Amino acid sequence: MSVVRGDLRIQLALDVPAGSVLVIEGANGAGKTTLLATLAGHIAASEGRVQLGATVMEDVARGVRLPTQARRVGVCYQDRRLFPSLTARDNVAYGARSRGIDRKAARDAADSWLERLGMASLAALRPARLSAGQAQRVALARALACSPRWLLLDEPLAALDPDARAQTLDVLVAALQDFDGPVLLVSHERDVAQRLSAGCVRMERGRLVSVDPALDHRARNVRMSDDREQDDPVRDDRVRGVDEGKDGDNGL
Amino acid sequence: MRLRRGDGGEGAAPSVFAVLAFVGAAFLVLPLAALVARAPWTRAAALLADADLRSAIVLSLGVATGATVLAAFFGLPLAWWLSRGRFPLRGALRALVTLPMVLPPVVAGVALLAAFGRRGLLGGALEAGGLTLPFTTAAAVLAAAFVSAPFFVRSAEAGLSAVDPALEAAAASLGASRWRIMRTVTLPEARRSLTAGLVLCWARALGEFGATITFAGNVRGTTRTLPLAVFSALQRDPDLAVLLGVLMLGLSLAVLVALRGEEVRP
Repeated sequence: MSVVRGDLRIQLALDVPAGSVLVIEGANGAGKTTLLATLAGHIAASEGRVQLGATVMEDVARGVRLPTQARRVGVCYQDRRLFPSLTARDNVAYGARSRGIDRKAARDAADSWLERLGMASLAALRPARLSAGQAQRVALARALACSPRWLLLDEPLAALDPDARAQTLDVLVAALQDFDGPVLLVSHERDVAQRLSAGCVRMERGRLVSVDPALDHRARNVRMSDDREQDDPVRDDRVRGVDEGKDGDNGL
Repeated sequence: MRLRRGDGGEGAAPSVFAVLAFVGAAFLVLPLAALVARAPWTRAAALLADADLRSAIVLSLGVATGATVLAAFFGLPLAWWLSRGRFPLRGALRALVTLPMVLPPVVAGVALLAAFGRRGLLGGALEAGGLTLPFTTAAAVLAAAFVSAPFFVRSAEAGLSAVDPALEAAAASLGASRWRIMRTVTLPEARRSLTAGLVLCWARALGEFGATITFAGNVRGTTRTLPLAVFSALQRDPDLAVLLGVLMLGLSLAVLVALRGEEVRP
């Protein structure tokens, strides 16, 4: 898949199997956030294909492009993007409400996420009254609570003080253990990948340059060993961003 | 350390400015003070009890509110289109939509006659449908809407343009439909500009005179709104005109208070 944004050209192929986490690191401006925005559907890819399991989200050659709403993706944005006019609780409940779940049930679910993240007492506050770290946890809760099929988490632990960070990382590890879709997580911090037993790739100027040796890296595809897939074909919910470049590399 | 204005006096105005500023302020304030000073307070109760006057007040509030509702109903989608749409001649459309703000109101009235008058462009079609606009309250509402809607459209457009698209993208990622994004993110984010636009629009509609008297006429109880009543009273009973003036001054003050702190960008 490739996408061009100003001077930046992102060109890469990724394959993240269902139930596994891929951590992306890289310097500022390497294109990590742009990559996530493209996968989420906020930016149109200029070439290639994005696919989740059997669902083609985007295929430039065939003119397919699912709107963001239909991608069933949970995004935790680096700049958080909480809705200023809604309380923390209603921010977290927003995804469920959008899918037609009634207010009470959506709020109850939101409250339990906020409680897990140590934010129960702040549920009635609006984002303007939250600290950066508190807003960060609300943003993470909102992404996890929207019943996504896959997750894009952009620096979900930034802006947290050490105590909150430890707690949030625990919750994230537990939540992702239960989560059976693919997860892409942008982070600079090495311990995150370790705690999530995630693979790790590094982006530089729009390309993947180095890959954790634990990963099987071939044909410019990054893929992780995936034992679960054989046991359970339903779990074939991998996300793929395939670069159909000049060399006719069709990914998988 | 940052210097505060006035610390050393270097930014002080030349003294002639003080004189000019005083004259300018006096010119703006004096007529209003005179209006209040000249008001026939002793006759006020008797004058205000007049049935014609009460009907003018009710008519004015109704016409201004009707014009504002029209402006909001069609103006919000228009503002949306101007702020989000990508189409050729968007700048030209924006200028055309703004034009009634600077057009002499009497010209607006003539233009409305040319379009909707009995012998106007659409007058024949309207008449065939059993609709004659001139000299009706509906015409007064249209005249007020024509001159006041741009205040709402421009203010709403500015507000909609200022909404962070990243928030709307986030709402979309959470599965929200376009309507839901608009209702829960865009409009709440723009609400200050939208309210300011509504208040400005209503105030302008309330004060509308030229287009109304030209297009809708000055028919007591049907199109004689407060400004027209002031104009009519001036010939018969200047005391009444002054009193009505004070009344409208009070309404204008109320509008200013309502807009307090809002960024007003007509």
